[in-house]
Amino acid sequence: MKKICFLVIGLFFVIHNVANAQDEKFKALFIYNFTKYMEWPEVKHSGDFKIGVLGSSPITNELKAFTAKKTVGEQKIVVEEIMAIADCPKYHIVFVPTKASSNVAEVTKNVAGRGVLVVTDKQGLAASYSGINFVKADGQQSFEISVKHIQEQGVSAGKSLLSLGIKVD
Amino acid sequence: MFKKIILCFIAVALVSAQSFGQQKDISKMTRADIMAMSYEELAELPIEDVMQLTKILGISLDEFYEMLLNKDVTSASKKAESSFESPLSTTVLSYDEIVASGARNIQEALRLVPGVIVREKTNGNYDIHIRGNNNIPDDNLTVYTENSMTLVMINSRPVYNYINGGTFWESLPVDFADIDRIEVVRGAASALYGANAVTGVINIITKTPDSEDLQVFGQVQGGNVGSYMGSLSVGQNIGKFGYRVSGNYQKMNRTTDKLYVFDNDSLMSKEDVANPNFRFKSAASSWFSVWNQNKSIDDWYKDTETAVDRLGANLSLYYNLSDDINFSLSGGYQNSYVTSSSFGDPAVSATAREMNGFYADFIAKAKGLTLQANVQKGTQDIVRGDQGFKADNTNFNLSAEYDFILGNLNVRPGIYYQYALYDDTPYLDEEPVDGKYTKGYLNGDVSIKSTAASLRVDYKALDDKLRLIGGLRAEKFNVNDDVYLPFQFVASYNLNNKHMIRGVVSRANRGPFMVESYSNYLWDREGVRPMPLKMKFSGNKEQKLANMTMFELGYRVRPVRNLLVEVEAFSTITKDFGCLLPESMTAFVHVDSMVANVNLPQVGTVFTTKQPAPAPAIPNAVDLKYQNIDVEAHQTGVTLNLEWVATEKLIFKAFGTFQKTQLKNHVCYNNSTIITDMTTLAAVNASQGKGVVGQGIDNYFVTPFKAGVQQQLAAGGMQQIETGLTQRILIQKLVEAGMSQEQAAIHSVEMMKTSSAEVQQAAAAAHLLAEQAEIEATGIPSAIAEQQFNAEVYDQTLQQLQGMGLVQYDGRYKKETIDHKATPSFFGGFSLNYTPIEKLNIYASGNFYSKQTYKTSNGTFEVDPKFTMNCKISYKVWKDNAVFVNARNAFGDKKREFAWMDETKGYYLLGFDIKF
Repeated sequence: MKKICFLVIGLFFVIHNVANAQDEKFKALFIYNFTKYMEWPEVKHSGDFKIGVLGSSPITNELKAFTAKKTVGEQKIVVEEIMAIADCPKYHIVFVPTKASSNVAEVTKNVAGRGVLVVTDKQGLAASYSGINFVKADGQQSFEISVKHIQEQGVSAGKSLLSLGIKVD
Repeated sequence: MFKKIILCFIAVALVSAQSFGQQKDISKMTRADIMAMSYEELAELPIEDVMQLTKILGISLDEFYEMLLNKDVTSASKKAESSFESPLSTTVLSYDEIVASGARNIQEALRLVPGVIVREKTNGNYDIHIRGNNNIPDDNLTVYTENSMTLVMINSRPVYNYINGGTFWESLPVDFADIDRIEVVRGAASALYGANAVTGVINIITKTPDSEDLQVFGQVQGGNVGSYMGSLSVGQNIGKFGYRVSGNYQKMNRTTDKLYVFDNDSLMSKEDVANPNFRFKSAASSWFSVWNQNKSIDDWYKDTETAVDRLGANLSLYYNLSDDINFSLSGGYQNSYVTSSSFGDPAVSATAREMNGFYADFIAKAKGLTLQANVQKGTQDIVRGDQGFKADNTNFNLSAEYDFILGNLNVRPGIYYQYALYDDTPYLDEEPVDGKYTKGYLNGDVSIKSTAASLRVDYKALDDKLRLIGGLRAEKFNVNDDVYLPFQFVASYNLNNKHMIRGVVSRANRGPFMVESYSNYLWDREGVRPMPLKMKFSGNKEQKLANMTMFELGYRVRPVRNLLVEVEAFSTITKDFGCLLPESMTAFVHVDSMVANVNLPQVGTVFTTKQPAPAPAIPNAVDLKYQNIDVEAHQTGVTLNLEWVATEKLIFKAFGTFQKTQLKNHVCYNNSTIITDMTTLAAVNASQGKGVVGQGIDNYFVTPFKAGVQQQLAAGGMQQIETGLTQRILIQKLVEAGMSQEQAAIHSVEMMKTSSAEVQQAAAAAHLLAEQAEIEATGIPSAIAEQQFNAEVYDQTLQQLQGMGLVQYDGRYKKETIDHKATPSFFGGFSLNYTPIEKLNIYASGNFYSKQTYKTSNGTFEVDPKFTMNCKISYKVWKDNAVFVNARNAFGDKKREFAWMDETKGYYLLGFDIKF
């Protein structure tokens, strides 16, 4: 009986991971697309274009799959896992997964005016902290966008992106 | 040939690749197209297109989730509603899922349904119970392990077996190609469906053509253990008319061709079972051959290897006058032969059944009116070869219901008539005397009729969130004076299709069936079985019908769109069970040991033998009658069900039931034990000068005794008697020499068949002796005493006798509460349906149950816990047509799933699914 319980529980976790992976794939695709519709300050135009994910998350591998051999302008895209919030300013995009959402206030404080787009994944965070926040509307993957926060983070968004997202301010 | 197949595959792959590679208009892409896109392709899309893709994914996902997690169901309320709204515990199994699962027949497919226990008896034959309540009463005939309390229907046409109660699954004329879905309702539902819907309802809904294009469904597969099967259905609409024609065939072999002999606890070949030299092991029966030598074993089995051999054919015609007026007429034929657990009480556990029949079913729906009339006519031989078990049958059902919709109120009155006729006389090998037959169980044409009326009121309030349902049915049978009033009350609250809470109180009853109502059978055991010499089986028309009262609480929740969690907690009380029990008997008392002198003409006495066990009393004739027993089954349990559409590619289901059943007022129901006790008390009464009827009784007793000696002589028994080397002793010696009981039993038969020349000569001499011998018997019993059985009186009497030191009594007739162990305390399963690419599908499923203990008059059998793993992998080679490999019980676990039935095996098959 114990074996059966372990088997069922094991299967449950396998499936859970596969299900999330499907969602994460499309979020990663959006993040990659954001690089095409945003502008970063001059100081961030050298070196690699760095996308950081706060903590461990399956989206990291999805992002790596989409950005392999891709560039933003001349900058090669690099995806990394962020181990310390103090490191956030060196990235161009910082993604804060749902489970790390409690840190978003500290992240935005650290990156204010430093040319870092903060992307979150929890209902309501675009209204309070992030530049872009993933939401699901009528079962469809979409995103909220806060012009105010994007500006505070030292980045600017293209008009077409603003027209596609759900503006919160 | 092989090269051609490879080339075909390559061609298919190239075509697929080419079509895949073509640039597609985003707005016309399907979910499957999107899911098949690579990272590279997705990364090239502008964000506007990505948004559009998510829109396509989002909308179709909702539909996808609804299709999988909220299927339409009609059986819970007799009209279409979503399964999430269903007021009862309901599961819908779709055709697609059944086919994907790899189940080989309808019974096996029910392993995918929560709350259903499916145990293999022989390959392809299963015991199926909803929630349990099986093997009640215990300690009695094996037939009480059958499920007579679940109503199985095809398109609401009952396919119930009215001879013994239950369902002969192999006799269903339909198979997968016919099926649109199977709806399972758990719990008492007689208010909706009438008698026999006690533990639930299984309604098999067949396909109706929904297109003017030809629609073809089918499957063929074959594999090891002599398994091959196929079914095909073709149908289409032509204007307002439609048709569907189908056929199916199934052949599966047993995992052994041997028969399990209860008394010897071993498997034996058919020839060995029938060998007159093979005797019962127990001392009391060792005078008799295992097989009744008056019956030919070849009549009992076509062969002992076949487990299932069945076919069915169906034709349905449809006429759709308008959206709300339509008619259907279906008819078909079935023929089946199976070897499975016996409905009789022979020395072996498995016997063959054979049946065939036609049916016609007419359904008319006009506005709110639903009319249904159907007839089934055929022949059932439930223990092939054993006279009395074969009968012609006719079943007729008529129902009319009307749906009145008055705003939020739905009122559905209905009237019903059922008629079942069985006649065993065409198959009795006798000429009637004064129009009366004696060799059958029924000995005539007998019928069960019922008339019923029902009213169901369904009220919705608070924006349809609150639903109150009340149902009542009044049903009167021709064999019982009582009017039965099954009821059902349901209250449910549905909050935004996310949370659904419901409570059910209902009562349901079983219907009467032929054997328990009309049995009229005299079992003459003289010379073939030990005492008693005669056993009379009588039906009882006034027996109360088993009934269940159920309380159920259910909660369904969809916390997210792609997840359904269901919990159903149930508590049931089932009572008024019935079974065949001794009512009265006569016994010989004051018996000295019987002595026989075997005399040869002109020689005199050559030897003397005697009854092996002198007894103070010996049962003579026993009257057994179907009667109610006081036992009540109190069951509480909970079923959990989880369905998770993780992605379009991956669907996961898991379910399990925990239950506990207690039997209250339980006493011993073992007929042999009761007869022994009756005999003991007859002797005690006789010794006290009570109940004794002095008679000239020598013919009752001496004749069979002489016959036994004669039989023993004819079988070479002189040698055995003289040397004392009976087979029983031979087995004992072999066991002492280190053989297992089973090996010894088999080996002893071989030894007896291939005995030495001396033994052969002695046997020949014995035959001569048997022909010439005169047998004198002495030690005749002095009286006959009568006994009536009553459990309460016996409890008191045996206690008193124990106090006097006359008997040993373990309190077996004292009413007590015991744990019922024949239903597993935990059973369930899971499935994983994975489609990594559009053409490839992998369906893995598992089932498990905890330990069970069967108790029948044949003894006690422990069924060990078991986990069965199944997997089907299919690959679409053209549209939805797929080749597949299929593994059932993939790890080949041999553990028996049903008492004294066959070990299981891994069943591995290759096949082709057809759908276009």
